[in-house]
Amino acid sequence: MDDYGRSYVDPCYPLVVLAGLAQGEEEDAQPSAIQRNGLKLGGTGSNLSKDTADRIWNEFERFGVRPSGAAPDEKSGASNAQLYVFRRCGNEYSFPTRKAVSQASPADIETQEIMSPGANVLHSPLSPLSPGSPLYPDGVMTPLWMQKHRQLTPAFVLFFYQLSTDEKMQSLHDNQLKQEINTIRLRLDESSYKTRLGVVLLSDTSVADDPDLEERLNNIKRTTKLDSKSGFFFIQTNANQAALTSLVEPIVFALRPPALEYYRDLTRHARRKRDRGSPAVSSTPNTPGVSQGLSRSSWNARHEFKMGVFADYRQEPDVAARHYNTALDSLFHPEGFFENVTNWSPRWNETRKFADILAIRFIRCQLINGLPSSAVMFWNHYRSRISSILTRKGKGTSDYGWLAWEARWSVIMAELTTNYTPVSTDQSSKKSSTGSNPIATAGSVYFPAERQILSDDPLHPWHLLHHSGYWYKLGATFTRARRWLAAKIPVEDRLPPGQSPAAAVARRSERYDTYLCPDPPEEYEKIKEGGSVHDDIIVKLLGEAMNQFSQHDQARMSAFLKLSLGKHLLTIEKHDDAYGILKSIWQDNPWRQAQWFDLVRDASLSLHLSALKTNDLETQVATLWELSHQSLHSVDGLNYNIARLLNSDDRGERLVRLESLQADCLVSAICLFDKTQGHAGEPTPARIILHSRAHAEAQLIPLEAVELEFEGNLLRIIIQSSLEGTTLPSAETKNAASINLELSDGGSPTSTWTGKTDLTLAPNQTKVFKTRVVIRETGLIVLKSASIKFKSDRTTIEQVTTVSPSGQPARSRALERFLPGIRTLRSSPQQLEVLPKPPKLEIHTIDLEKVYYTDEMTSITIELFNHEAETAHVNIGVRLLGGDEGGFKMKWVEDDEFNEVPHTKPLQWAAGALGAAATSTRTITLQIPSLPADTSLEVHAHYYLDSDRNTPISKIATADAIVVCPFEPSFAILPMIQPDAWPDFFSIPDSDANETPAKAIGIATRWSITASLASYASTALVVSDISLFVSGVGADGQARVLDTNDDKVDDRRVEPKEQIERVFTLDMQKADLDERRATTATAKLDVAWRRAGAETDELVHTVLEVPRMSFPSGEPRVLAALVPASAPSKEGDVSVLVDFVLENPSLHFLSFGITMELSEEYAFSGPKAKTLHLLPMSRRTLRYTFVPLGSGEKQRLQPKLSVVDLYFNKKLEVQATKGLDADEEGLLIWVGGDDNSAT
Amino acid sequence: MPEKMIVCVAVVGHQNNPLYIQSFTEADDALKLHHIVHCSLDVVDERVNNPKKSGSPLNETFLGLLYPTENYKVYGYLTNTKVKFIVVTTDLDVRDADVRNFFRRFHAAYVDAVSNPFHVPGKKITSRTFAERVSTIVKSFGLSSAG
Repeated sequence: MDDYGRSYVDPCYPLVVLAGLAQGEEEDAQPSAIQRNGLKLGGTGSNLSKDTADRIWNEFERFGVRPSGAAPDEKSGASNAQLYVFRRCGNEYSFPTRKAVSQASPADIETQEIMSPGANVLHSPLSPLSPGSPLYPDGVMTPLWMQKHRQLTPAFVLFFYQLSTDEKMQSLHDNQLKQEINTIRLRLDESSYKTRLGVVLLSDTSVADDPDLEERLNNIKRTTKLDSKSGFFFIQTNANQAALTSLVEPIVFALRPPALEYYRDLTRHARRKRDRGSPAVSSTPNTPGVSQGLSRSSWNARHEFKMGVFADYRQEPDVAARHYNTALDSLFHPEGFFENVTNWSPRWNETRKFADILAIRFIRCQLINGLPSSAVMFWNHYRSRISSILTRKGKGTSDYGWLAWEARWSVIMAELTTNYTPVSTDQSSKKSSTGSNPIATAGSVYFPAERQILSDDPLHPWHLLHHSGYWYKLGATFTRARRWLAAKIPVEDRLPPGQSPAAAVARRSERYDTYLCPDPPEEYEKIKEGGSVHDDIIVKLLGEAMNQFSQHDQARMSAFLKLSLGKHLLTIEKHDDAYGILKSIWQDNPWRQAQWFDLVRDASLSLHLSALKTNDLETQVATLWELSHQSLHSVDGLNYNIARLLNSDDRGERLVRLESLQADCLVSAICLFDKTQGHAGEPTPARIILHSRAHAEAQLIPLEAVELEFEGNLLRIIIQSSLEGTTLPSAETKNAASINLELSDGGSPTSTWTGKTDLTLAPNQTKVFKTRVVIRETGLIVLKSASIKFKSDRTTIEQVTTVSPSGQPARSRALERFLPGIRTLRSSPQQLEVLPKPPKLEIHTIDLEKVYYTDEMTSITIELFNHEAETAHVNIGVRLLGGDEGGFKMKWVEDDEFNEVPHTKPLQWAAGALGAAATSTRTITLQIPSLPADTSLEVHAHYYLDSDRNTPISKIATADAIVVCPFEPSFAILPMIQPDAWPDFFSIPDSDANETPAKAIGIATRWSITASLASYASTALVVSDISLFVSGVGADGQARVLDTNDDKVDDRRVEPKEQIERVFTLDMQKADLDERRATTATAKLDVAWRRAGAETDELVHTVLEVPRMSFPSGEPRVLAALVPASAPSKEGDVSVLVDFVLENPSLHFLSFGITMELSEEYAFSGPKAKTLHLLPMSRRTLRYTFVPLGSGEKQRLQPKLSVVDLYFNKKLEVQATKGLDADEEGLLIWVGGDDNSAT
Repeated sequence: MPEKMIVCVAVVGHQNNPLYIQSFTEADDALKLHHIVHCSLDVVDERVNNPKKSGSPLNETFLGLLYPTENYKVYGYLTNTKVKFIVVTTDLDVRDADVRNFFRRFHAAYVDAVSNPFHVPGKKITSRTFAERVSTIVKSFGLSSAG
């Protein structure tokens, strides 16, 4: 924008002159073009010390914009609406000349203020009507006008006066001051300047300190008639910085309304002039030969521009934009300037510049207004307008001048976009932006279009405001085109005007548009000097564009621009710069990663050419290497011979190291393992694959060696080239061969395996080598890097492919990196998990059963078999796992004592040296606990081999076993009739007190206990005996098991799930006759058994708990018992004898009512109804005979004897004893059938 | 030469790798067009990442005009599998409907090409049938509406 003059294009802020703050001369240089012999204001002045003046000045400057610099100073945080341009001067300020000096009679300006109409009217010295004006007679606008308003004509003049502190002189001084201010005010009022006036009074004391001061101030204010709000201020000069700030700030704010009012007045003035219609009368009579001056539309443009600028001063961009737009329309109007003035006129370019400035100011207003799309649309429109005007009326758009203009405008758009982009209305982007510039972090390509436009047609991207990178790029493109056109300037136009014929000069001026750019000879001169001028611009613009694009996350575009920049530098033969840029773009190549190989080729080729110029052999090789890749089409005319490249250099031995930048390396090598797991010390099959991806034209140098390194395990494989090795038929494209690798040195921690084979690799050939390596250490080994060495005469080229050791995603892609296009069934065949050496000692547990029974004692034999090739030194530990309750006991069979705690302390056995293929056994005795449990036997063998005593080897063998209880008992308890006589109620038994234990004298009761055992064993068992032990009797009773030998089991074989039963008789007796409580008893069943088919006869005693038994006593009861037939019954005799025994063990006399119910089932003999009296501790037997009435079949009788305790009126249940059944109805007797039920 | 002209079509995979790129101009321009297609991915990325800002809803496959560059216009299309179609035209006044129609037909051709059991997903499309079909579609671009 500098081409247009900063003051012409920069934004405007109200100008305020601070008079009295500077000593002597004003600071800013005066624009010489404008005379300053206008109004002079001033007087005695403030006599401020320089220090105080500077302090106050600095406070004001916080809101000030430097007259020269456009960028608003952000130090005060003031918004645009609070900014000013401050100027300070001495005690006097001179205004610019208001009216041009009349040519007819130069006289004092102020006296000629009012002239009679129709006579010579004086206009502003800058008006096209004033003959002395640069615009005279037909210019539209000059930058001087802007300059005048920007720097000379203030909106506000603020005079600073120091109040006298001398008490004697006070009033005199005050009066002088009043007079001076009044004079100034009057002079200003009388002049036609609309500048506002203000006074700042300064004093060392404050109003609070000096009571008179306020009175003085009021007095001055009153007398001078200054506006108390915006024209009269007071500053205490010796206040501290903060206080001074707080004093100055309100003044600055108070200046605003009058300042704005000032510009409003100017606007009004301009509008009046515009509305007047006809142009003002020129100050000179019409002179023949002089143009008639400005057309009406040009005047309009002029007025509109002024109004626009004043609106800018008022920070009203929308109003300003409207005025600028109207001004432009006036210029382009069919009767406007451009259509009616010939292009050879010097005014043409001047006005074109004016139009450009209008456009710039308009676009800036639109951007500030937040209308980016309108701004862009306007720009497109303006561009086509200018282009159309130039084509029709001007010198066309086909020469470098037009391109220069386009380029300039691109840069202007870029600068405007950067500086004035509206803050995005999108809240989310606002939040995301952290920097002060919202655009820099917005990351968007376009600025969102304003709402107003969205409602209309769908917007095209070229209607959206692109970020400044786009404009810079455009600028570079235009500049490049300009350079190209400049280079084509014909010879006759290249000579400087002095040396070329006049006709050529004339033709030139007709042909070339030299608007804001040099004449053809000069333009050509720029090309001749190495193109530095244009190229510097191109480089600068491309650099700017690159920055912007990368700031907006357009990495690809940025890279493209960088490449273009490099290529451009290459064409203009700036090889060093080109090399630096191309190298960096080649290294962080965005195309390679995404496999845009044509673009990779472009970058590589450019760098290769650049490297050839800069003699960087390594880069030459590296780029040629990449260019030899088959994915990159071969370049015509490029010499692919790498050997030739290397030989061109005379230096000695050298190593060119090619870090594989390529996503896809030219020659790849990889080692794949056949299996995912291998064992240390055992040969692991692997295959090494070599593949060349060079294209047919590539001429690589011979392959020397392949070196593969692995991560995680110190392993390295080196294959060297040797023609004597295995030779492969080279005609085939795919080959496989075996190769023997040898461990080359045992000294270093890395085991290096080397082999030799023919490594000649034709383009696009794959070679596969099968091999075996022995890996020592355990762990995971992964291919880390593959280094392939090529050797020419003196040069070695080493191509290294490495895998980053980072996480999983990289690893999954790692394979692709080594060998692109490979397809494997496994996810990562380049890694191998090396497991420890497998133990070869075998452990067998002999005689281990799957199921053990409780309380069993068993023996298990452990057998060791040494499969190792040499003697092993073995230690065995045996332990039982599981079985939480414990109770397992274990010992070696020859030991005496059991090991009590097998869980924590394994049973140790130093088995000692065991020769190869030798066997050793030892037996454990195991006591199974009496509770069921799950357990497993673990035999842990630690051993080492003779050859490697430091490597412990261990092997664990476990065997599971469960412990179950072999029998499931069930018990049935029935009362029986006690055959013994009851004690006599009337006699006291002689008891010997000394007898221990005391003889029980209670009433004895007899019970039958039937124990049924179901075998839960899975194998057949032999039960030799079952016996019952009473383990406890409650309530002072005694229990006695009457062992009857009737149903002894005697080594009976019990098959699985078979039941075995035994009946026991138990006598219960209370120790004391008076003891009435119920008694309980606990008992245990001891089952002596062994496994059927066990070698020993040793019996296992399994003790089973009998549920707690409860025996009532002291209550009367009725027992029914079948009377065994005394003699064999006769045929057909089906009668049954049943005894009902009524017992009264209590100490009461009881009466029972007895009734036998009649039934149709049977006939009976015996009392039908009877009352029975029972003495205490007595019993009576009632015998009944039943004859069933049914046929001879087996049938059921259910005699219903009702026994009622007459005293308590309680019915007694009849209890069945052994041989009889009972259900809920009562007693059950089975008669008849095959066997007599009486049995 | 038809009035509305497509100078380059490209299929770009979901990892931004080129799957198919064919230019329909003189050979000189091919590289430049490759660069243009590659740079247009920046804008595609932005459309995908900031769908709100760019205005066009993302539930549409047609991305519209990505950006104008010198003498070309670049249009984009994004399939559900994040495969991008880029087309570069020289015409100044292309109707969106034409481009949409073109992309629809191009998408169908692409689907047919990748449905070939011998095609390796993520690798370049080498099918000659596809190339022929694309060339037919390119030739007929804009003809329907031109008449």
